[in-house]
Order: sequence, then structure tokens, then C-alpha cells
Amino acid sequence: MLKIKQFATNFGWPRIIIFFFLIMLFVAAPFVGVRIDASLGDVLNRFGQNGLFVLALVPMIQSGCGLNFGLSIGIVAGLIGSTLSVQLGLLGFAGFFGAVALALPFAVLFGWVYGKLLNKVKGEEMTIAMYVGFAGVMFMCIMWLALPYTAPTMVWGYAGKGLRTTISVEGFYRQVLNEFLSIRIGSTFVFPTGMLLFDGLCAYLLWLFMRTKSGTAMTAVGSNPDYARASGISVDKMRTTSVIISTVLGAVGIVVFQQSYGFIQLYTAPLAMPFAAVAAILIGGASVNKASMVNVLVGAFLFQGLLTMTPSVINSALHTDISEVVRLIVSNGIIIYALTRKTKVAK
Amino acid sequence: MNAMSIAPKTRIRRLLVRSGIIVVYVLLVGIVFVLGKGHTLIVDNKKTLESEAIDGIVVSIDGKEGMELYAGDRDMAKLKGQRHRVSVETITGEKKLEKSFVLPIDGDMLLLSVPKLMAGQENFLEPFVPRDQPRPADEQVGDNNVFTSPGGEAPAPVPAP
Amino acid sequence: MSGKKSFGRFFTENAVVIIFLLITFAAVPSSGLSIQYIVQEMITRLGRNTFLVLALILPIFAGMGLNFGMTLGAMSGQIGLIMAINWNVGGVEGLIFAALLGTPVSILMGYVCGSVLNKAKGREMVTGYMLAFFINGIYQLVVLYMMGAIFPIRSHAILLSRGYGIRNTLNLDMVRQSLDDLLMLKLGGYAIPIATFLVIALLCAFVIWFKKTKLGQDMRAVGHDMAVAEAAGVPVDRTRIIAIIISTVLACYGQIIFLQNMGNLATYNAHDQTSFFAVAAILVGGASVKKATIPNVFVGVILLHILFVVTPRAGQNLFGSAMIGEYFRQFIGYGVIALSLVLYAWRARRDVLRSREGLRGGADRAAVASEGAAE
Repeated sequence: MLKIKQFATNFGWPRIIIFFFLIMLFVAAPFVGVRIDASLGDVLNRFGQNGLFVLALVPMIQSGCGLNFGLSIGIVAGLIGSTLSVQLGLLGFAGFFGAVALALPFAVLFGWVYGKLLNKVKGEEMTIAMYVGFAGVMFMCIMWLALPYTAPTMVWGYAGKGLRTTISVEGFYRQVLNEFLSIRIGSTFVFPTGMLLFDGLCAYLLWLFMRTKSGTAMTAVGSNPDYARASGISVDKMRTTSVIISTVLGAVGIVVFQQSYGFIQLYTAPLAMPFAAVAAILIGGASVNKASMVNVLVGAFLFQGLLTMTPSVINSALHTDISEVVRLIVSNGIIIYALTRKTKVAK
Repeated sequence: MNAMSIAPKTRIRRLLVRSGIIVVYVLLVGIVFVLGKGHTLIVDNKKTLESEAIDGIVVSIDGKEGMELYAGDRDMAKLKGQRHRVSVETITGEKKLEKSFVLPIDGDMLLLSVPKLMAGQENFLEPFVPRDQPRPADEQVGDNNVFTSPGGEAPAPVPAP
Repeated sequence: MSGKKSFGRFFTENAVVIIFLLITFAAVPSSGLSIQYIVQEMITRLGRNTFLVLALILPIFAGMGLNFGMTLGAMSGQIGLIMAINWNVGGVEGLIFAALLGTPVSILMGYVCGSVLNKAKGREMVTGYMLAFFINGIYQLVVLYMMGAIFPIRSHAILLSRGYGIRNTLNLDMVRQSLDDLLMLKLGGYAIPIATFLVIALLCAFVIWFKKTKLGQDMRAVGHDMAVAEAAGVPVDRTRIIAIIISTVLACYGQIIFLQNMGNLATYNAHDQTSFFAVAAILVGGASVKKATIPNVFVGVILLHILFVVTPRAGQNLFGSAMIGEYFRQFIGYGVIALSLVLYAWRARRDVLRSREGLRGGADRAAVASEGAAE
């Protein structure tokens, strides 16, 4: 009995509550007319779609930079890459990998600058990250209007200048990953093998990296900076590296998101995405200074499960759209809970 | 600081102050409520069972701009608070009547019958129940949540106040 | 110190104000707006926003950083206004009615906020920010679903057509400009809402007086160094909560003043940007996370809002697009908060390192810790 209690406190009561709540939703689904296989497919889809964003948070948490509320910077780099890819007319897999390749230099550059900035403000990273992210997105909004894109599907019809808010990637790289080796069961369930494989590959690579000398150095910097410094590790260099990795993963993540979702979303769309990723990893059991792959997996799945199931089930049950509000309360409540927990490592 | 270590005298005084604050608060709420409550007054010049409509009068409430009413006319005034003064003149400017009246606190819409008023009757005020008006269409509910929806849609830029 | 060093010091201390002045001087001419228009806008906006910005002073004073949780107070004020509209109470009386109803709600909100922030010491600003979103969810739950259904609403005109839930935009005609018009002075072509400024002056007096009281001194001690204050017998947690409660109640009144000037209430959005604008204003005025004065508030509101008035037009004239001006405005807003926060954090670290260096010649390690907190 004690062991179960111990497990519960370690795992965290909110997570257990959310887990059972999700199970309850799945059980209730058929009774209110929601198909389980369609829902499951939806959940898997959204899990794969958003997974890399959650993964992107790990390096910075481990290196002690806190929750990367400035993930928008990486997302914006990815947007640059994907708009360039569409502008150049790259199709299919070339389009997808082209977008990633084009985004990489921007992601590395942005990440490097952003990392250097965070190094100067140790102790107050999270709030600054948030506002740097916001300012960056707003700056890019100006850029989307001003940069000389010309592809007809991307620019506004009349003026011919300035990008549209949403650009379809239909015909470019829509669903290229999802449909790669996808498994179809019945008429409503599609297992997006390609996307999940890609996500898994990225996660595996990160996991490997965290086990290398650099990776362990990064973790040391986060959990015990004095010891790391004493061992001759450059704290600043490790932190900057973690920020660059995080930004790059954010950039790749948005391209994966786009191929699944079907659209490139510009302007103010990136503003809300970091918060979703943060909520997800915190649900998965991570804390402000410690995160593991399990946290990413569990968190992304639970969070997207909640986001998918709550609207469909509760709305069908109550015949009203209460989902938005429930989503607000749950995801933000989780973040607050995590922020108010005592951390074992002093700042 | 536990309850035991406070002297009873201080405790009583603290209780009195706190109750005093609550009383003042409730009183204030009551006062502003009564003073600020809006009432819609329909000023009516239609003939009633007991009195005739008067052709060509100007009715002014609280010294505000006068309402011109011919027989059978009806006009509307939005008022605040309970006590008001009504003054009736002919179109030629001849003063006819001035009277103060008090509106009931829960009267949202009331009807003041000028004929009854002029005839000296006491019940010139009565509640008024309007026919249901069509409501303006709703805009989309809960729209443009400026990034209040983590994991949600793209928010629109918010104009400055 | 050589002249070069002190110039550099002056620049970093006031970087945000300087940058803002530069951008303003550049943008005003290209906007094509007349000086008279700008001045009148400033008068109006000062009346409208100052109270809200003043609400941020006490939490900074108590060392809790920028109170992003002021949104909770704003929501309370809005609930008060909804009730005033519901019961058809208009004019200044309606505003007082709304303020009176909003007060217990904001005290409760402040208490919750303060307690949560106490559990997240060192991370107050992020937590306050997320708490605002969380309570926003509760607010929506109450206002969008419970009002009309569980809470009886008298005035059916404010409900959505489905019968419950308050409408998106509420017309505030019955209290519109009530405070402003109470004592409106028309002077030289400008309209100056004296009554509103009197209320603001009252608040300034209150803040000044409060800082001198025992409670105020306690807050100062807590803001300076929590450990030292605790050792001196100050009830640290309780003092912090009180600071937040006062700030939340002030935000409630400030939002009511703001909304009576605006004339309508965007039920679900009005409070979203409240903390952002207030925080940006106080930072632009030269305040930092640890120090904020009343002049900071006035300077900040004027500077920030001149930019907000002028940039959309300037953007339109320079780039041919009103949207660019709009985005530029938001970019500047967020950028200035980020810049101020960065400068503050950078300066704080630099001071710690500097004092550490200074003492490396021998002495007392213990002195370093307290030395580093001083600004």
C-alpha cells in the first residue's frame, strides 16, 4: 500500500487525475455517439503533429534554462524555411526536406543569438523568453508583409504583395510523412506511420545525444552549475548549445506540423504554440529543471488526448461547446501546478 | 499569531470594526443602487377612462428638453434615480402644472399618463410592460481569444485601447 | 570613475526611455498627425490608463516583480460592471456600484494570486502570467456559461440569444464617460477630465502615504531581502499577499475607469491586454523589476501611448500599410518589455559579479550575498 502511495506522490496527483479523466472520456465516447477509432486516430495524429514541439523543450530544461516559452523563435525559423520551400516550388519529400534544410541555418542563427541573450539573464529566463518570443513573432509579421515573395498561392490576390495568413501545402508536401507507410484499418482509422517514425527518429537522436559527453555535460550544467564549472565545462557554451538544439527542433517541428495539418500558418499563429508544448511536457511529469523522454511521450499523448477528446465528448454530451474553456482551465492549471512545486535544485 | 494570544478587548474591537465596515459597505451599495438605478418613463398623452387627452402640451422632466405631445402621442424619457419633477406647459408657453413624484425602485419601465396628472388623479404612474422586441444577432461567441488558447487557433492582433 | 564609464552607466540605466524618445521623435513627423490631436489623445489616455499602471507599484515595492496577475483585478471590475448593467444602475453611481461589487471579488482573487505566488518564489512573473490565463478560463466558465443559467440575470438584453451567457460586447452607454464628464474642463481646445485626474491624484497620495505606514515599511523590507525581513520578524508571506491584494483591488478600479472611458466592454477580451499595456508602460517609464516610482508611471504612459498613437499612421505613410504600423506597434510593445527585463537582469548579475570581484581581496563571503541584492 505504501509503495502505491509513494508511486502516486512521485508521479503526481494531477497527472493521475488527468490520466483517469482521459480514460473516462474514452469510455464515455461511444455512449455519446463519438467513434473510438476515429478519436484514437485523431489523437495519434495530433500527438505526432505536436510531438516535436514537446521534445524541443527537453534540452533547455536539462541545461537549466527553464521552460522555453520562446519556442516561437524556432517556429518562425521553420516558417521561413517552409515559405521558401513553397516559393521555390519544391514538391513532395523534396518540399518537406527542403523546408527543413532551408530552415536550419535560420534556426541555428536565431538559436545562437537567443542563447547568448539568455546567458546574460540567468535566473529570469522564462519571462524574458516569453517576451522575446512575442517580439520576434511580431517582427516576422512585418516581414511576412514586406518580403518579396511571389508565388501565386502565397500572396494576397489583389495587391500581389505580402503573404497570406494561411497557405495551403496541398500539392506541395501535404501529408507526405503521414501517408508514408501508413496503415489503414477500417474506414476511419489511419495510423500515420511516417510521421510517428520521423518523430521517433528525432527523439532517438536526442536521446543518444543526451548520453554523449556533451549531453551529460548539458545535464550537469542544469543540475549543478558549480560542479560543472569546476569540472571545466563551459556553462555558457552548453546553455547556448541547448538553446540552439531547442530552436532547431522547434523549426523542424513546425514543418512536421504543417505537413500533417495541411497549412502554413503565419503571422500571430506561433504565439500560442509554446504554451501548449509547455503544458504537455509538464503533464508528462517534467519539472522546470528536469525532463526525460518519458515525460515527452506521456505528456504529449495525454495533452493531445485531452485536447481531442474533451471537445468531442463533452460537446456531444452537453450539446454545447464548452471545450475551449475546459482546455484553458486544464492546460494552464497544470502549468501553474508545476510552477508552484518546490524544486530540489536551488536556482 | 493565534486567537488565544489576542486580548478579548482587542478582539471585540476588531469584530466591531469589521462589522462596521460590512454595514457601511452594504449601505453604500444600497445608496448607489437607489440613486443610480435607471428608469424608463413613457410619457403618455392618450385619453383614459377617467380623463381626456390634452392637445398641444410640452412636458419636461427635471428641467430637461420638453417633449411636444399632441392628443394620442407618446414619448419616452430615460431617468436616473427615484425623485423627479415634471412640468407641463402649453405650446404657447403657459405654465400649467408642476409636480414632484417618486418612482418605485423596481420599476424599470413606467408609464406617466399626462391626462390623469392634469386631472389631479393620484395614480398617474403605472408600470409598463413592453412587447418583446427582436434581439440583435449575436456575434460569434468567444472569438479572437488572443493566445488564451494554448494549443489552439491563430489569434488576431488586438487593437490598442 | 572616468567620464566615459559614467556616460555608459547613464545610458544603460535609462536605455529604454532614450530608445523610446528616439523612436518617437522619428515617428511623430512621419505620422502626419497634428500636435493638438496628439496632446488631446495623451490627456485622454492618461486619464484612462494611469490608475491601472499605478496598481503595479506596490508588488514591485514588495519585491514580487511585475504583477501580471493584475488581470484578475480587471476581471473582477468587469464582473462589477456587468452587474451594474444588469441592474440598470447608471452614471457615476453605476461606477461606484461596480467598484463596490468588484471589491470583494478582487480581494478574493488577490488572496488566491498572492498565495500561489508565495509558492513560486523566484518565479512570480511567469506564474502570475499563467495564473491570469487560468483564471480567465474560470471567468469564461462563469460569464459564458453560468450567468443566466445558474446566476439569474435580470436584463435579458445582455444575454446571448441562447438564453445564458453574457454577450460578446456590452454597451456601456449608461455609465459611459460618467467619471470623465463629472468635471470636464474645456481649456484652449482641449477637454480635460478633472474628476478622473482627481481620482488618480488621490491614488498617488494613497501610495505615498502607504509607503510610510508600518505595513509599507514591512513591504519595503520584504522587497529588499526576504531572509533579512523574516529574521527581523516581518511576516513575509502575509505581507506579500497583502501587496498583491491591494494591487488587485486597484486593478479592479482601474479597469472600471478604463472601461467607462472606452464606452463598451468586450466581455471576453477586454482584460487580455490589460497587464501587457500596464507593464509596458511602467517599464518604458524607467521602472525596473525591483524599483518603480510614481513619475515612472506618468512618463511611461505618455511615452508608450504617444508611440501607440503615432506608429500605425507612420507605418501607413512610410510603408503604405496600416497593418505594418499595427504590427510594429505590438513589436515595440513586446520588445520594450523584453529589453527592460534583459537590462534589469543583466545589471543585477553585473552588480553581483562586480561586488564579488571587489571582495576577492580577502574578506567576508557572507557580505557578497546581501551586497548583490542592492541596486
